[in-house]
Amino acid sequence: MTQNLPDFLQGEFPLREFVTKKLIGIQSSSTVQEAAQKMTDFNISSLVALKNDEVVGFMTESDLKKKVVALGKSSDTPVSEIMNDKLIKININLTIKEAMQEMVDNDIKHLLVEENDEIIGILTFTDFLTIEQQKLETFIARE
Amino acid sequence: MKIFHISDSHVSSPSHFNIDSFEKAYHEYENDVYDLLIHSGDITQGGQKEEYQKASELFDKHVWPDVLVPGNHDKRSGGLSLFEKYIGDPNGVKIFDDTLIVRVDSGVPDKNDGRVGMVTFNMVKNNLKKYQNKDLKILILHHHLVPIPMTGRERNVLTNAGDLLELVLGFDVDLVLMGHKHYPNVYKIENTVFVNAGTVSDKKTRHGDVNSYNTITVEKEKIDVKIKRLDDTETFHSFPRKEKHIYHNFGAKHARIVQMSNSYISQSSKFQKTHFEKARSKINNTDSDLIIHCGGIVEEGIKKNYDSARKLFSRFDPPLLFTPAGRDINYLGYRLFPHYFGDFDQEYETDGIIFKGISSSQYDSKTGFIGETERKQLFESFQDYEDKFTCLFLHHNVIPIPHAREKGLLEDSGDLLHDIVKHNIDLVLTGTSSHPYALKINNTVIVNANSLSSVYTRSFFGNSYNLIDIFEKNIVVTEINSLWGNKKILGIWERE
Repeated sequence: MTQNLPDFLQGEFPLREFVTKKLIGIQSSSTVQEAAQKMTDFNISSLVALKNDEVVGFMTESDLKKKVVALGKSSDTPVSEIMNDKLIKININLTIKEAMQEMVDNDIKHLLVEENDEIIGILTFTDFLTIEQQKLETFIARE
Repeated sequence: MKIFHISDSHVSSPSHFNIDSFEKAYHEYENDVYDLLIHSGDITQGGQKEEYQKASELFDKHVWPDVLVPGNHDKRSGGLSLFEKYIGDPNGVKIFDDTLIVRVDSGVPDKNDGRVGMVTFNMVKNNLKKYQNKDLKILILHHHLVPIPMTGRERNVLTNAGDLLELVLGFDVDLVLMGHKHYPNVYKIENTVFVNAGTVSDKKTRHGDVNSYNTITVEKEKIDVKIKRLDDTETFHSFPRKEKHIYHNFGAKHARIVQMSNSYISQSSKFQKTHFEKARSKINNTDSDLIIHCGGIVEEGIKKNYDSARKLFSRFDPPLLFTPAGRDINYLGYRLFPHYFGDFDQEYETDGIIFKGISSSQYDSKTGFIGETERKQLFESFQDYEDKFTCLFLHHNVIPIPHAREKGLLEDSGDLLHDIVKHNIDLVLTGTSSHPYALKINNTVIVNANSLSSVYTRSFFGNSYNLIDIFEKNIVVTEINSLWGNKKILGIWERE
């Protein structure tokens, strides 16, 4: 899989250097409508769910689709009802390659990044896809 | 951990070297207990054998610093071989307990400019990677990574300062210790404290200043820095070490600003009209309050380009502010810019936010300059808006840009940055070198824009513009790809 990565991410590229160490959260008591609004406002595909400033869950766009819309649930459904409380995390001292392996092993597209037992960032599959899109742009915009 | 930080001793003849200052600093070191004694370069005045011998005798008499790096003066006249003979390896690492110290030779023989070559750069990177889990990471080099105030023209900078700065911030280095400009200074950028020492014993001081040294205390929750001048005065800075990572309560949104740069409009293939038009379409659907174009409107300042630019920019819905880059005002551009796009220094006010542009460009020159008079007037004018959110925009960068050779593009960036920080300007927008970049220095968020639609971008993400959302409690900066519209959060910060 890593063969498709650009050269500068091959091998032992450290996760710490790549990942944005900021992420957006929502109170687990908020409604899924509020969560969807937050995702739309910041154009992000996931949120960490918080209770008393502690991360207690994680939700993605896919959860909204599968656990709310497809089941005809109300937009007032609390985030706590649809969030995933099993957090899949990777230590920031590991590499991009190990992070990708973790995503493949768990069949997930979002991976929380932790340091000293604290969640400090998130890695998403699309982060990898957008890295070298300039090559494609140059092809499209040949004018 | 307590660190005693000296620099620029310039051991030599009495015409340069003030032995009384040197002895006084050492006396103060010996009167307290420190874990580390650091010398961040320019140990000697001219890299001469006699000077290295004299420095060695002085260190033998007192105590040798735990870490020394060579400065530009130490590498004069082949001084590096003498540094190696009398002091040791100019590059390397020191590890003890939960601390990593990386020392770097940033000098270039017989030049005042600095450079960290590829092998040394990789040594730094590999060690930061290897020891990234250490609780305290310290980098020591002679040349400054961030412009220093009160030192005249910003020159002798590290030519790849942007790359090193990116590395330092990427690996969460806690402390960077530097010297070189003989003026003590402290900034916090993101979660890293950058400390410059003044000169401990050179008679060449600035603005009639006296010799000085720093003491740094690192605790679990904070880093305290004292600049101690040898006239027994001191300046104290304290910075928390804990960084906030998760943001959820932003409060009401006050404004959304679009920041763009280097649209590069021309008849040539260097202007990518598809990117421009796609970006325009997205921006018009973004519900933005204002667009700020940070220079590089046209490829060259000629009428044909300006005619096209006016036509293309007339199709944006939000109001537009412009500041020129050098290329906008070359040829006839100096006359065309005000005719087509308004004043060189533009201003706008909305919902408690004041935006002020300052022209940093000079025609036929890539180098920027604000000037003392203009700078003074600018910050005096900001004083009328102390209770408002303040934004300054200009073309040239005030912080080094990664992947771009840093030549001190804004010659007075040291003084400008100092005034920005001192006056707590909330937001600074720049648009040079086509590399997107956002960071917080003390209380100020600084954002540089990538190229909107020129072929000359330095980002794998492609051409882009930035969205800056100003909330009641936070500032959020998002980079938007011009063509595809996919987004990347460049940073989130709390408003001070």
